[in-house]
Amino acid sequence: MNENVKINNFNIKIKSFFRRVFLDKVIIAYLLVLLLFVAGEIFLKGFLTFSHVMAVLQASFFVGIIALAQTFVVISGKEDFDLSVGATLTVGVLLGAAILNGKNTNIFYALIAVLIAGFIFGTINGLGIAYLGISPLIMTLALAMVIEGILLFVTKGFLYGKASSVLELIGKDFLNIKLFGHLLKIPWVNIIWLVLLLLSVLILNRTRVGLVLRGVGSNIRAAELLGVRVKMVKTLVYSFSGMVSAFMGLLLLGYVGTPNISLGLGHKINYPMLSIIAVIIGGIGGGHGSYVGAVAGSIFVVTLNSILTTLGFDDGSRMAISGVVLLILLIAYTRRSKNI
Amino acid sequence: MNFNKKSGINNKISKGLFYKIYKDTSFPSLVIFILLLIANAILQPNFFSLSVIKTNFMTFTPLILVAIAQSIVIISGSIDFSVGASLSFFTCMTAYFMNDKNVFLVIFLGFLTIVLLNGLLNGILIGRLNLQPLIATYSTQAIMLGLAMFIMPVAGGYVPKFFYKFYSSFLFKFIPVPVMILIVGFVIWYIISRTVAYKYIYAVGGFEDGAFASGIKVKNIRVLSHLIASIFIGIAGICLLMLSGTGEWRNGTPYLINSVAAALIGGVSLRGGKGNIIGAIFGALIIGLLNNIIFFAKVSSYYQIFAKGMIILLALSLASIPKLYEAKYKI
Repeated sequence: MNENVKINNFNIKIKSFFRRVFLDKVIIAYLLVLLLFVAGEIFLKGFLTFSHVMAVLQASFFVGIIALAQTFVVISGKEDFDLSVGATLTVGVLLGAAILNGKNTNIFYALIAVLIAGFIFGTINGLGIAYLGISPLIMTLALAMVIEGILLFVTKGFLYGKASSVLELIGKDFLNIKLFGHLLKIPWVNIIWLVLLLLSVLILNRTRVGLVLRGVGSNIRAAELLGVRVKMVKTLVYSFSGMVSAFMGLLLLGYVGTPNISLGLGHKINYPMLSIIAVIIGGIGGGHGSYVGAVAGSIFVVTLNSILTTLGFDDGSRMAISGVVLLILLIAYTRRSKNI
Repeated sequence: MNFNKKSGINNKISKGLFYKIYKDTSFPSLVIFILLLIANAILQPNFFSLSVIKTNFMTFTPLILVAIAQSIVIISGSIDFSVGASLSFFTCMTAYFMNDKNVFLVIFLGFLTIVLLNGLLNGILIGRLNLQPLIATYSTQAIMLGLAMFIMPVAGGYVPKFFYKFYSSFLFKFIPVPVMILIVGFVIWYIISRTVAYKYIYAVGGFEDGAFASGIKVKNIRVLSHLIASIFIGIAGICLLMLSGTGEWRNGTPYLINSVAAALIGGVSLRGGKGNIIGAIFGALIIGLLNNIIFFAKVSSYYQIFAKGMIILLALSLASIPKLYEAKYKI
């Protein structure tokens, strides 16, 4: 009798362990990345060398930071997504280039200006969504249009300035580490990414800020009845998203060197789309999830994008494929369980 | 007792035509529309002449049809983020395959594809698979826009001359063709609105659980609302093809945000179940007239995108003000 119960318990424990491992979306996300890397090695020779993987990780950083902004937005609401990230990061690129103009001494001013600009645009988003009750995707899309208009009439198509040497060092250079006689080159941006990852996990899981965000995301009415100032929290989330996107624009300027209006607004890399896919692969939804999954998600989308580009797919088919990927993920992950 | 008293008071208020119009959700849009009409009549020379009406309606008709589609979907408690991409996909696809002989076959097949991809796919994803409407249609938007870009990376294709000349001609020498198409669309809507299913769409959008409890097949109604909307999107696609004369994947992009703004200005509530098509038509006319004003005020092209974006943003904020007086604990 006792033995039977013990064996049963053991079975249940084993089952729950497997279930926990194989149904955990974060682990699935990393397995997907691994699978994609193996597929890349099969299709393209020399994909799995250390330097190439580092290059992929360096490129993933930029989508990853947008995904960080998106993570905070998505966690704080069931239908919240930010589509203005591409426009806001273009503001960061152009403003940063204009203020820097190749001088290292201006880097502090550039950082402050870019963060303020991002904060302003993000706050406009947040005010519209939280206080006026406009649907998030519509509001952020409209603001993206307005930002594009502002960029057009401010620059009149003429782009001014360029990145400085320090920013370029951060944006595209490597940290050289000697390990057992091998020279390992690790991109600086990935070290920044690691710091941001730790910070965001700390904020989301170990502080009151994270608790409030998840509370607002899972049940907004309950959060309001408990005394959370829901509308202000939502506004600040969008402000944060704007700031992070603009900051990422500054780093992207360091990566490419000269400003270009199509960096964030073009269709070569559709940042809103990629970051939303990354966030959903990472298993993040209203009120739950952590940035660890979104990191895997952003590595996944960038790797998929680069493999498809190397295999000769054009912009359109890549966009269609990413749409199909998003659709499959949505069906697998975010189906609302309803009896109706 | 109380109930009787209340209904007694209500009965005393005369419910004439004007009262009905005043109480309708589309009343604010009607007022704004009349004001803009006056402004336009001052700015645009010969505003009420037949040829100017024709050129105006050539640009208004696609937007009005898309706004009708969007508001039907919004009333059913969902939203269609893929309207713009559907239009782009339609124009690219048809312009790619068209030659002088197979015009109507290509149009018919393109129409069918839109009904399948926009109507049926979105409907099944949202109604049957219970995905969130916004993000589900966002992904179908990416698929269709990607396909459009794949078919036609740069603008091109071939549209026969007689076909796009037809759009700018008159029927019986006094009815402009765009207005005629609009009337056809309106008749289709009128027939649909007389059916029971149309009432069910309101019921599902307004109070889903209640609709389910009273025996309405909620899932099917959701699919149906997307299917009805896709018919109007198909007609709008034909108009857009005749208007632009080429296939380009950027063609339909502005229609998404404009159609949502039109629906919201016209008093359609994003929470579903509220508003009507008349309001959406006025909303679309308002946006068209505003764009006209931007054009005739001779705003430099650098400022035009900004001005249009600001108009949308203002419209969205204005449309949401009445909601602020509603329930307190809702966002």
